[in-house]
Amino acid sequence: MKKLAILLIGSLPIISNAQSKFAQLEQELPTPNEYRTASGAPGHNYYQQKADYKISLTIDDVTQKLTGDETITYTNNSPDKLEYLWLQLDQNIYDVNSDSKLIDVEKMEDFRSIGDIKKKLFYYDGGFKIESITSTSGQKMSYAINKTMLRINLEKPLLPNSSISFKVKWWYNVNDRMAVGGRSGYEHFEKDDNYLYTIAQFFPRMCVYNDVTGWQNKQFLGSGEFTLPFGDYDVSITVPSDHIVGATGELQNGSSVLTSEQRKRFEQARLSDSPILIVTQAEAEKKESNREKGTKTWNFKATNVRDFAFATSRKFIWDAQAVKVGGKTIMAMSYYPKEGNPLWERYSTKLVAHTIKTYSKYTVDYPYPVAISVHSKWIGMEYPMICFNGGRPEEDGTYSVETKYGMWGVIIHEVGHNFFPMIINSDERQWTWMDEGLNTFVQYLTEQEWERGYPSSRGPAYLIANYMRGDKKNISPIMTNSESILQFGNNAYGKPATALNILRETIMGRELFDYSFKMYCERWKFKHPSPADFFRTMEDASAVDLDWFWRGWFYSTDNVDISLDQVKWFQMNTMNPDIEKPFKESQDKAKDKFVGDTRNKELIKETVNEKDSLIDDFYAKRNIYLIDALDMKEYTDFKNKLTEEDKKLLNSNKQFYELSFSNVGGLVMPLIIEVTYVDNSTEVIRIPAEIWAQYQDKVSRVLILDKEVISFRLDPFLETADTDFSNNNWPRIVTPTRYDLFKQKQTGENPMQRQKRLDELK
Amino acid sequence: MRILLFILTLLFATSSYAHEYFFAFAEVEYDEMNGRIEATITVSTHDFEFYLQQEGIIQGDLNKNKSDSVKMLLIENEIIRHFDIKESYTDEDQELKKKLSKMKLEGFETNLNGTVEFYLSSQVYEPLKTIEFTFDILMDQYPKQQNKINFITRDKKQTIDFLQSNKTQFIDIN
Repeated sequence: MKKLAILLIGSLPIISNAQSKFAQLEQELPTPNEYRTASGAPGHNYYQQKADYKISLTIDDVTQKLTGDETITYTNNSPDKLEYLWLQLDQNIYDVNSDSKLIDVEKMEDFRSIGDIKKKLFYYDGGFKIESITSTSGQKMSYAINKTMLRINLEKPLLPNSSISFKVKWWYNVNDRMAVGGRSGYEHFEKDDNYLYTIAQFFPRMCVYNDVTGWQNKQFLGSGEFTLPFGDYDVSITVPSDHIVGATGELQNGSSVLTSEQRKRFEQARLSDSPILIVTQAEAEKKESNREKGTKTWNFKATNVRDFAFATSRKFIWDAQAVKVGGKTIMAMSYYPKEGNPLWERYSTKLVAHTIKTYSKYTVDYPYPVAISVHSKWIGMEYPMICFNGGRPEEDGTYSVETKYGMWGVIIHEVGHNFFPMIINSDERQWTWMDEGLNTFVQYLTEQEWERGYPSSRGPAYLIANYMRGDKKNISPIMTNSESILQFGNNAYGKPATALNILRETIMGRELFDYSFKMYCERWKFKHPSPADFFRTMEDASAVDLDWFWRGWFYSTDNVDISLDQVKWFQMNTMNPDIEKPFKESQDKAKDKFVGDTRNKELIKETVNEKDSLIDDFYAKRNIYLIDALDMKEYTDFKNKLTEEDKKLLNSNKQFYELSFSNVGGLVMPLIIEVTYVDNSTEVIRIPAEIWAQYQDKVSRVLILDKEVISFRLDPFLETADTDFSNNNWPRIVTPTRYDLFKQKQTGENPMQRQKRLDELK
Repeated sequence: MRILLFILTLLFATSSYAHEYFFAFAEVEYDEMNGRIEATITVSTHDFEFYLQQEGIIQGDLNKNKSDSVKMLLIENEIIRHFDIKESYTDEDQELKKKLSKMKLEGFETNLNGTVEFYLSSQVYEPLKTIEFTFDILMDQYPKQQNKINFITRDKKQTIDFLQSNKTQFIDIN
């Protein structure tokens, strides 16, 4: 209903609240220091350690045993004396006494079938068997093993700016991933009795020591992944002579392990911007049955990487192409068994190339010489320059569209991990989101550049809404240690990716966001950033105060649900009787009428005052809508007090709408309001989140508009992850449910019946 | 007043267990006027297919089974085994539970983002007062599974969580 009133401008605070949601994060973030600045950059005394490895290893294809020995050279660049060194023994998660077996919450309902019991009691002799740890001169070193961590007790502390080298010999039984699970292991192909090895976490390796955690030696329990120092690797891998090996780094002895034809094809691939087969399917299939005897040793070197992984199989088809980034030529490569075709030959290497180029655009130029995607079943795992990916067609070579998108998504995601955490080397053991969340965000950008309308499962704000609703005690903040997270994927992948998307599309805008994000990546490439470094850099590089955003999205479990509660409509009183009196008359005539009045008008033929003219006095005879001379005089006097500008404003026909909002979900967000006018034109008004700065439960805002409005809608472009659209509209509208939409689509026939009708038409 | 039963199950489990997550979501709508419960269930296509394959219910992907009425019945049974609605009421001193008429699977659609939506409905012959939900879909397979229902009634929305330790919840309509 229209109300005629005097000009009203301003926000009307209703409830006063503390500023907790906009409080700066000073108390939560660590104090800046010489190692990490308040601007989010590495400090002038920032340091990090280095760990170089020279590894020789052999895989026994008959027993699936991996035997290795390594020389580790560890450099202490810190200002501290180190009395001991910590190494990670990740394979010990499979040890019979591993903690990871003891911490799953179980009930008897979990053991209803023989299969369930067999799975629980399945025995696999996993874990590292350490044979010796010695100095380079052969002297035994004292050490202690605490489950997945090993401490070397140094005779003399390792002083600042000095190095130590030592040797470790070990072996372990490689796990059958189909039986045991795991991020690495082997896949056995029963039909041709061949093995495909995807090997990682295969050697005792150094923990990170830094200014944030000291030694990062939290036990490996399964969820929190790996935190590793940078270094150089020289790795020799001995495998059956007909195997093809793909690994972190560059192959040093191609002339010893590849045929001349394979080397020739590889050189062709160096000059090609589309995939060239180095080993064809026919060649790989031939090897599956004609097994060669003997072994070969493949030697790889990698500089400034945080880890090493490799894959080896006689089943591998291998293709490669060149990708140019920042003036460098990178080899994008794929290794896959025939079971991966036709999908893998068609798409994998192209996806690798696209991912490298797109991630380089948004983060840092890819610095390594190769980027590899390896196919094995049911896997998605990342290492420097190499990743292991699932996505397999049916046996007959057909595949569903879901399989295709699943395969595309996992390759982009895992190759993307080269950037987070392999180059921007965050602490995965502590904060899963710092690599998974950031990677999932750039994955989304990469998917959208691969195919228009790509059905990304994470990234757009509206996709996270369902997760964020509900009982908060069953949702963890993003800033939760990896082992304690509830709803792991939504928490550590989806929500941070969504948050970054919202920053990019809504809070900061693409230009400011992209600059700041790239700044963070450039600052922290080949270093160990912490969450505070990320939060600080994004603010510092953009001049956008984001503490409210980090506090809400990363530290709390609030959700977005902003309600448009009420709309009041006002117009200015022009004071012109020629306008206002007719308007009042029309308003009074349009009012609802009491039923008795309507009936009386008809049924009472004549009232007393209609019969006797002496009854009506001045008040009865007076016409309140009549414009008289006094009205005109008062109006003229009023006008004479106005400036020209005042008169223009008075006659502008401005419409005033007072909108009242409440913050139902707790997360403060900007108000994005779509206005639809009577002429069906629309306008979008964006009010920054700071409108909630003082009153965090309810606010109001007056919009002064040039035209009459028929509707308002909050968050029309699904930007804010609002969890309830039913309170976003004025007037309220009923949104059809998914079931309603499904029923509307139903034609009463199945697709085959429709095809029959189509065939009959032909 | 309509209360829409909409179950959204999102789970994307792979054997690379670093990347697993277990989450199911449901939205409930009850059409009081027409005495119906209407449901939409959204599940990860890959994971639900894998589960149905392991149980021997289907072979190959879901879409291949769409026109097979026997398979559809088996799929329906599997879904409603883990999504159960009862009306809960007290008759004098005795607490009784009456099962509502069976949910009927009306169809499903697979989406390009890796999810499949199942559409179910059921007749309700008397107005409901208190509903008992059991929602433990895929909890047997994945110990970390957590499920959630969005229950909408009379312009009010409630969200209820279902955990391994708490697979059944009650909602009062009045």
